[in-house]
Amino acid sequence: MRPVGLVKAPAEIPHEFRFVTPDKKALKTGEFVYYVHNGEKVICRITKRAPLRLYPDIYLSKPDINPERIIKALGINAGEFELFDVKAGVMGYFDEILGFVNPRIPPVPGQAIYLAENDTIQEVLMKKRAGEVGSIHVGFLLNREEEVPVILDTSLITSEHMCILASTGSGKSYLAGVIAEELLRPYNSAALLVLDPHGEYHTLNEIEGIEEFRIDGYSPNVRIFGKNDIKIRLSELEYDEVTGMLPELTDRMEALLNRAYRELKGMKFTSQDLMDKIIEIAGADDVSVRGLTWRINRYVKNVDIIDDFVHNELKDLLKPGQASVLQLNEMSDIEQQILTSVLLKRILNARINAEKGTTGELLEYPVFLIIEEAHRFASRDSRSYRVLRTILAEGRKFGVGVCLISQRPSKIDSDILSQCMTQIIMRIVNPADHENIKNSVESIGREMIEELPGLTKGQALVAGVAINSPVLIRVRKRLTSHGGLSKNAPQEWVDWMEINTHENEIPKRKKQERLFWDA
Amino acid sequence: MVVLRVLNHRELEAEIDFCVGDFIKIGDVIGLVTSIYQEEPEYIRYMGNLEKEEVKKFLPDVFKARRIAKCLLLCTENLEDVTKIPKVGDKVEKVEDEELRQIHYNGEFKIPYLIPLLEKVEIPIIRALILKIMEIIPEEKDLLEIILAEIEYSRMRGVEL
Repeated sequence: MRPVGLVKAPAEIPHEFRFVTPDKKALKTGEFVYYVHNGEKVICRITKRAPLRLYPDIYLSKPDINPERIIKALGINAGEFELFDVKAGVMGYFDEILGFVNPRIPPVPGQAIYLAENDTIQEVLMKKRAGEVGSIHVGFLLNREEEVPVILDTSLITSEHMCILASTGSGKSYLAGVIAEELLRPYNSAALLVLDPHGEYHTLNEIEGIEEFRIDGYSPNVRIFGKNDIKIRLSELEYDEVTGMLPELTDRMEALLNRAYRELKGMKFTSQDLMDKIIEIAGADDVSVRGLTWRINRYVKNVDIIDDFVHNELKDLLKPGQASVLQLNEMSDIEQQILTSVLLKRILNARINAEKGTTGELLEYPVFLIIEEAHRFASRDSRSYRVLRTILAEGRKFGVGVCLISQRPSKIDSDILSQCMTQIIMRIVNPADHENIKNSVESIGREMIEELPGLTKGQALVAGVAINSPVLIRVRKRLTSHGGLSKNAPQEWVDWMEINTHENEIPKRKKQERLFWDA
Repeated sequence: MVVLRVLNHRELEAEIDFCVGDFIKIGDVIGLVTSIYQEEPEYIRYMGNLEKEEVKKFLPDVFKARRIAKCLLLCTENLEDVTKIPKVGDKVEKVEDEELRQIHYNGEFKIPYLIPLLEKVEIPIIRALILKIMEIIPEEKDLLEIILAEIEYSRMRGVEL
């Protein structure tokens, strides 16, 4: 292996140093290099790269004149202008048990620096290899022209949660689609639920026809649930779930509801049965009864997803090797939040029941939830906030993993965001969101955060527990088509005009032969 | 017009009728006239004023001062460093514009002697030199303007206004 540069001097921060290189294209910011210390490869990350010598400003005054021509005309050796001063931070040599160990001895001036080989990177940065059980192949290292796969550890993602944060149009739904595909591969066979407020994930059902997903009798199943397919029977809701749906209940209202609920427990009751029971307990003229029945009518009876008779079983929604896409796009905000809240609570309880061996609804296997537009469900004023916070805080014990996807991370509660231990961050421009990420995401260094506005579509920064060190990636190509493509409005307008111009042509007014005063 | 004195490996004096800023050629060595002075014959120093007037009446040529040009050697015709130093008595010629153009512009424009020259001569001479080259190689005018601007600006940097 030939060295790519030689150490120049220590940098300002103790664990950083500078080296000089003539390399023009391989040593990009974020790239991995190493020096050898006591026979160990000490991995370092390039944090900054700048030309060693700058042209005088006046040399750049005429865009038609290449400053290199001036240098050549003056007979100056342009070699120094072709050198780069590169700053790199020492990560350390990798130990299987301890992770990165910083040797605390910076390289000496003149010491050779090598570009980290693909194998070294994979060995040191990735916890899993592509295709291994429990691996998620999200993409490739951004800095390498050759394809160095970036693999995340599924078990750490499902137990310690993840988030995908990016401005709109950066490709976060596309990336989530890639993750969903990977989770449904034979080496993961995940039980996956996607909350899809924009109806972008229906294309995942193409998986069923793709050969790569089938092996030894395994064939994943993708089910798309529209508004009419998602029903929750009122009698299946816990008392807490019903109170969660009804806002601003007084103590007396809660007491009445609780009593009615206890008396109806074990029966398959309807919302009308519940209201009748409340009236039976306290009388129709009672102010609290009137308030309570109004709330049941408003928030329970008129909510389409709450049904008196039909009910989606959790095991229909969640089973290994199946992705269920809940399309929330035709639902009102209240319905979306109620559904999310109720569903998350049921999933968590079912997992707790299964783990603790208690009675009730059971899910015997871990599950993974992808929640799009997470700021709607994870902000403090959202109905699903409390249950989501509980899942993120305690879900790891019970095998409920969550992937939060949002374009407005500043609207997500920081307690929730900080529990997502793997972060995939794409292009973020909004300063408030930028600041929020800086404060909530500890594992990413300041210099990596500075890279975010410069990322383009499909490029991302991956950091957290599922990978040994933050890396910049380009997202891999999806095997299924992307359901969230932006509309090409001008083209659609032109197409519409071509079809409709002749059909809808406004008839020309006939020449008026007579005016009314001619009569 | 010949070399009168070789001062060092870079400088010589010649009796020529050129101006400051003119390019000269001695064999394949290119030089630049950097200053001019007058030199009277040595023996006149030993004459009294009365004698001088007397002699001047009969032999006016004797009193004619010589015009001496101090020249700086720049490079060879191939724009390489001067390694072969001219000798006293070598013929000095003026470099014509066409030849000057050929020296500097052989496929691509080059003026490698300019930076060493900056240390030896005053800025007005450099400016005159650059303007002259600009005139004979108009296609490199923009590039030369940048070089001239940088030279003048760097001079300004050294002056506290």
